[in-house]
Amino acid sequence: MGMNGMNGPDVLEHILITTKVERVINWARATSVWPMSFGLACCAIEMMAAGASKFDFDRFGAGIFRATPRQSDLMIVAGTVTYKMAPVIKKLYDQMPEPKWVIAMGSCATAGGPFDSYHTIQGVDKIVPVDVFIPGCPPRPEGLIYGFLKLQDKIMTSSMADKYAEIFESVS
Amino acid sequence: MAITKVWIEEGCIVCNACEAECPDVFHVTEDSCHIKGEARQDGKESENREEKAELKPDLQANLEEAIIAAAASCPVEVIKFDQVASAAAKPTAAVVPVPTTPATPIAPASAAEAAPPVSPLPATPAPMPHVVDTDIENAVDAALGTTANIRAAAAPSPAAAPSITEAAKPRVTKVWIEEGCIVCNACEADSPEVFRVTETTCTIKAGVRADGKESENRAEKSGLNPSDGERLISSIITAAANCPVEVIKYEVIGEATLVPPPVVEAEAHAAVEVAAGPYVIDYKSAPNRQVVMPKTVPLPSLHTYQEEQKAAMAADEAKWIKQQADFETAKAKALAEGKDAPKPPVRALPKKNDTDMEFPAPSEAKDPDLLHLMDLLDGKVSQAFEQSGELILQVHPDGLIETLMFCKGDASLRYEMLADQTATHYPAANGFAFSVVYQLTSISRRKRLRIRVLVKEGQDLESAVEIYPSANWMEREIYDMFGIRFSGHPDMTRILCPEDWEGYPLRKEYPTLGWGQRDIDFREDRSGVLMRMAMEQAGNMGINLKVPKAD
Repeated sequence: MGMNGMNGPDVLEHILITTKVERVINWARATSVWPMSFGLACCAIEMMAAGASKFDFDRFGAGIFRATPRQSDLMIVAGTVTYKMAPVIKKLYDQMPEPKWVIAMGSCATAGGPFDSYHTIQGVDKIVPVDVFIPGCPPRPEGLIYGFLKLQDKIMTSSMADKYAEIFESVS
Repeated sequence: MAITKVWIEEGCIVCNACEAECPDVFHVTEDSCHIKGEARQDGKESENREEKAELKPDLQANLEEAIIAAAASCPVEVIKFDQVASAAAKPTAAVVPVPTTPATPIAPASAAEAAPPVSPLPATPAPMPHVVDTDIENAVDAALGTTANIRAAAAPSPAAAPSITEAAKPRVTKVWIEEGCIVCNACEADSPEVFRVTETTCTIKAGVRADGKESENRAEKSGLNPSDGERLISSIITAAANCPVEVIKYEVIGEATLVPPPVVEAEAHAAVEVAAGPYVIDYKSAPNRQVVMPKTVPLPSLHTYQEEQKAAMAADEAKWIKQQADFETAKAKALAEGKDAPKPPVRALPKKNDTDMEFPAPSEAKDPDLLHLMDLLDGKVSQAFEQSGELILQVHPDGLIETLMFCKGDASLRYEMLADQTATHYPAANGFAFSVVYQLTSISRRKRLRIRVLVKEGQDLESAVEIYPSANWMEREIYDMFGIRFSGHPDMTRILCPEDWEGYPLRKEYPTLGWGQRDIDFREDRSGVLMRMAMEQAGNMGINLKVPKAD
């Protein structure tokens, strides 16, 4: 009613944003990533600091650390992954709903770190697919936040076809 | 027909093929092949290369076929022989160049020199063009130029009879592509001048063909240009050998002395096998895997310290006695020769130790607690000593529980707490393998005491859980890391490692990297589930994911 006297397309240009559904979905996913509290060693202290008020992980929509994998989108593997812990990580990852992402935080989760030993898995990527590796021993909260921003970039540029791409790549 | 002489040219590879074909004539030794003495008229056994002795008359006719077969089976073709028609039948056609390489036709035998040699007769009756298959064995044959190849070469072909000179140089006469090409580009990579891989098939290029057309050459079987066939023989054989579906066929004449392509292929296969499996680590060659076993037993003990001291003193004394004896002999010698006597030796004083980092030597037990325990336990104490203010009581394993009960319950001792319990592995020790120590603390008396037990391999200790409940987890840890079991423990299971762990990590023979347990890979598609899922999903989308395979 209030549009009387105005041309239709001009009005729409003022009140509507045209975009892709995929982009909207990606935006929603990237800005509300709920991490799972998964501290295994000293990196978890830095992860806690990133979540606390000074660094405030919540600015990026990732401040709600969940205590269950079923409510989580992101697993931040913060610490040394031992042989005994590996099946637990795999089980928790499997329990997370799709879409899900993994950040390997610190040297230990990335490549075993200083523990070139019989009990340490040399990188959590031997167990679950990792999206972002963050170096450091431990990385500072800024490092974790930078890695998380990289993950946001990845989510924003992902497409629905990615899910199938990996399967086809592995076959061919 | 009969064979008069047989000899072995140089180059025998001692392959035993001739002896298998004709054991009456050939005898393969360790370094060469000989013609047997019993088959020869001169009775000697040798290669018969120089003397060319004749065979015995009765063998000449009987063993003809066997000798021809042996010569044909010789992979390096060093078996030569003279063949004559029997004198009664055909005296003129005396010498027949035997089936050997056309490149090196043998000289006519002296017996037949009078008669002019006739034109070479085909060794095989039918002039069958020999198709070299791309099987590895046949490719080896082709490369080495064996009999089948030679038959084809020596056979006068009705279409284009190759002259001797042409046949002498190895060349490929024809190349064609059988059905079933998978358009893999392998041949074009090996021999780009001959093969061209199109979108649907592979063709023989017009430039190398005699008829100038470009096709698969399957039906027409047009010949190659002689110069190209000679120049490109190596690359064509390689391409045929590398063809995954083996559809490249060719005809070759002459002795092809090439590097056998299957070797190249085998190397390629080996390289592929090595490259496969990015997660496989060779643990035996890893530096962390190398275990250096200790050769000494650094177990501190008053007894061993005293033994060391005694041995050092004895060595010092022996040295001094020898010095004195040497001096006496030197003195007597000097007196006899009328010279001045040498200087008498001076015994060296022990070196002054002016460092403040002195080794804490063990000393006799003087502490009242140790003396009291020794009284209480009577003969079950192996030794008791003090070292840098620490009280150490080594007891026999039988008296361990009794000792701990005294330590906790005795009114004058009152060691209430078991602060730590751990073990050490001594693989070089004689009579025991581990030492288990109990670190006791008396809170009320502010004293500490160490109880030590020496344990053999496979020997159980009695659990201390009943006396000190804190021993529960520590004994489980000792079991986990060393494999020492404690009898009477409520739950003798591993505590740190998973229950399915193999080996005891703190033993000296255990490699730092373990036995490969850490190289787990949960992502690998063990049962092919991921593959099946992908196939199914792709099928739903109308995509054929199957890798084309030529059966």
